[in-house]
Amino acid sequence: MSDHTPSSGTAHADPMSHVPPGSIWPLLVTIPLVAMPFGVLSLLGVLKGSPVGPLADPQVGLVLLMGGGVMFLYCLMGWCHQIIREKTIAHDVVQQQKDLQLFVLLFLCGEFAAFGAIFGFFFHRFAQDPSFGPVPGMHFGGPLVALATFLLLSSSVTGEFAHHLLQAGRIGLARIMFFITILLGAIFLGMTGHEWGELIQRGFTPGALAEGGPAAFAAAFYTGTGFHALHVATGLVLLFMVAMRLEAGAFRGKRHFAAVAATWYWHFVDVVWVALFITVYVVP
Amino acid sequence: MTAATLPIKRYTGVMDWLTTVDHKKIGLMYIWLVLVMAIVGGALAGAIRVQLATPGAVWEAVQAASLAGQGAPASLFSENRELYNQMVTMHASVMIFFVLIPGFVGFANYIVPLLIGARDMAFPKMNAFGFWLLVPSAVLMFASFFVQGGAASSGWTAYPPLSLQGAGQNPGQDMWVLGVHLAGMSSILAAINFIVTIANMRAPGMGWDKIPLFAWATFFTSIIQLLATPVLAAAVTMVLLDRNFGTSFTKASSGGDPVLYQHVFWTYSHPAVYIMILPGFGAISHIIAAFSGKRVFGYLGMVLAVGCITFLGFLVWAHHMFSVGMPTYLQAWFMYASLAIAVPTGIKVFSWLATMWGGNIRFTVPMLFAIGFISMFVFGGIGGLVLAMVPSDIQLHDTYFVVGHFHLAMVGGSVMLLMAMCYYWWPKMTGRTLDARTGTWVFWLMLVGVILAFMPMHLTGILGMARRVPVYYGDFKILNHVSTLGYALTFVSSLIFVAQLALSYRRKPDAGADPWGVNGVQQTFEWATSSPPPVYNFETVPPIPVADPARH
Repeated sequence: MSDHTPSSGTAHADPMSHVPPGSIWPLLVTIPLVAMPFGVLSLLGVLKGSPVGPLADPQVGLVLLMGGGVMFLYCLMGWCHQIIREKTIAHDVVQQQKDLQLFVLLFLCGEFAAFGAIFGFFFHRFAQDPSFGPVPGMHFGGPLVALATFLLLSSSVTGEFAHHLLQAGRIGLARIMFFITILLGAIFLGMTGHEWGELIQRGFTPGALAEGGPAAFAAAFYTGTGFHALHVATGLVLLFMVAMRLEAGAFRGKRHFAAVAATWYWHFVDVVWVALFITVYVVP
Repeated sequence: MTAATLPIKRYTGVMDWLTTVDHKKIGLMYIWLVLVMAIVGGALAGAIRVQLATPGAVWEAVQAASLAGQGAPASLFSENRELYNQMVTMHASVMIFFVLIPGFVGFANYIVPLLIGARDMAFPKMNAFGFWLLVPSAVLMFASFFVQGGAASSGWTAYPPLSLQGAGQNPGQDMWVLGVHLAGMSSILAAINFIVTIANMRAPGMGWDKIPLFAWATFFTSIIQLLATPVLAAAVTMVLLDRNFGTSFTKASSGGDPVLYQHVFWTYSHPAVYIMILPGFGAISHIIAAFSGKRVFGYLGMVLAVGCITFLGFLVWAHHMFSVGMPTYLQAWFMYASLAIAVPTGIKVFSWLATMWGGNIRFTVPMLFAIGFISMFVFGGIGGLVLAMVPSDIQLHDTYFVVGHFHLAMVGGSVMLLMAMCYYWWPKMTGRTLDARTGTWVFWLMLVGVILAFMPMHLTGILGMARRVPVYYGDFKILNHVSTLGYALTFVSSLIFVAQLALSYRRKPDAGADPWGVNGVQQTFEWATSSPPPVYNFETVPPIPVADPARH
């Protein structure tokens, strides 16, 4: 049973030793979470003429957004640092690993629900509006997208290799595999950006297209692939953190759930991409 | 063990509350945030009720004055009708996102780990984060009153094209969307935490068949929160993108579909009404069993009924939008599925009655609220059946009947539940017993207030008064005045209630481990530890009784 679950029978010598120390990070991290939305609103230019006037200056907005972003990352680092430090005083690490496994699985369920709404939009529009789709002759999709997809799928395979090598204690090979996984993911992200740039140049934007099906499709395309790219980026940050900790000498023992969680997340990103690829490029 | 090498830093005083990861302190902070927000949201409702009680709200009076060449008779929002829409929107948003949803999360935070014999939640820091997230969310929502164009004014449902108005100029709606994002994140994190806690951290020997009902209800509610909230985030994000980034998800003029927004929105928001009441269904079983001196009737049926409501809740969303136009077979499906929810709900109501049947009933304050809840909720539920049927819904859609129905279910139901839980567990949570005489006054004022405020709304609705409109025909005058009187009683009783809770801190803790004397019947773990419990909850978990705790 868990570290938090007291055993029945004799009393623990010091029950206070089960009580985790307090943490300032959950409170601090809310400061950037106030600052960043105001930064976004300010950059969008919607705060003009409001009593919050000084905030409307785009430069202030940029500071709020960037500063908020930096502080957000700093808080996350502080939070992770505290967790890693506290591991040494934790009572029942095995149970914590089980808790974390369930956490990651449930979190991914929630992510599936969010992507579900996007897919729901696509298929509802496909069914209702025959003009919902790319404009013919725009060279939408093509070999570059196929290559990007192939690379992302390969990175899932290398990620799985890395996980198994880590389990087998072959740290050297695992390091190489993590590196390849990150590299492939970064290339995928770059290709997505390139694809976006190409499409925007060819006039594949909601504003430039005829209002109606094509414009709505373009909007949904950028939202769907953009939301996915955001997840790829998050996955890369997770993998990068795992790689850094591996370099720093972590995961040499039996426990390496952070690495497992990162690979799970990576597989999730992969699965969603396959579905998104079919929806965006194949179905129309 | 390296504990000795790493000194644990313990904060004290205010810093202790700001940095706490203790589920009990976090639970209490939730509850106090909810109490404050309930008063704020109640005051916003007051503005609405005052408008509807003034002569200037009566259309004939306004018309007569204008014919006679006089100025319109006074009403609160005669100068600024837009502000009335903001009041309606923010009243709903505050009550939903800052009162009803976090209210049950707060109680679950405090009580569920105690019920299952755990020392804390599975992820204590994330638990604290879930609470603190509500603060930026509230800052965004309330700050929106002070920007150009004021707060969001398209109703809490934010239907486009209404919610697309003022895009690029008035940021109120955008701030509302971002606030909802943060509140939703809080909700999802809390949900994951509850599921993991209940699944993994139960005391030795507490199998799935022995989990107390409040923990079961929290478990199912968390599943709804986890799966539905991301969908809400997606829906309001569509509005945000359409307002600011030139997309056309919900713009019919450029290939989008506003009706699709409604579908996505209600995919979350219908399950969300169960988020606002299901945990209370579990808690009320504890209270009724405790003060009837009996076992909970039909434990298994209760669990299955909650599971069934959870499942069906995902399949009925479109009964909110029968009048937007949809194929008959879909209307039929959503009608029958909605009516089917009455079956598990009925199982619960009759199980509560059966629990009381032949019991040795003690009319303590929590028990009064529990009985008040059952009676009010049954009325609210019957109104729901009327609205679930397509022919009557098309007549009653967007009238005050709908307002009366869900307020009866939410105030007569959820708020009564929260107050019952508060009176029941307050001695456990703070160590202070609450005066029964004041509590009884609060109850009767509340009950009479709820009946006077919301029952007449069904009639004004049938007579044809539209919701969200600050002016009405003279026929509805008397009924509206009765509603406002009922509102006043409800609000006064809420103020007394909050004052009673606040003033209880002046006394020294006087509640023993089991202030209600229920542990003979209701052998749940929270009564086995001191009031308030020590930081570590239990030194040792009391052994699970031979007859299991959940059923007693």
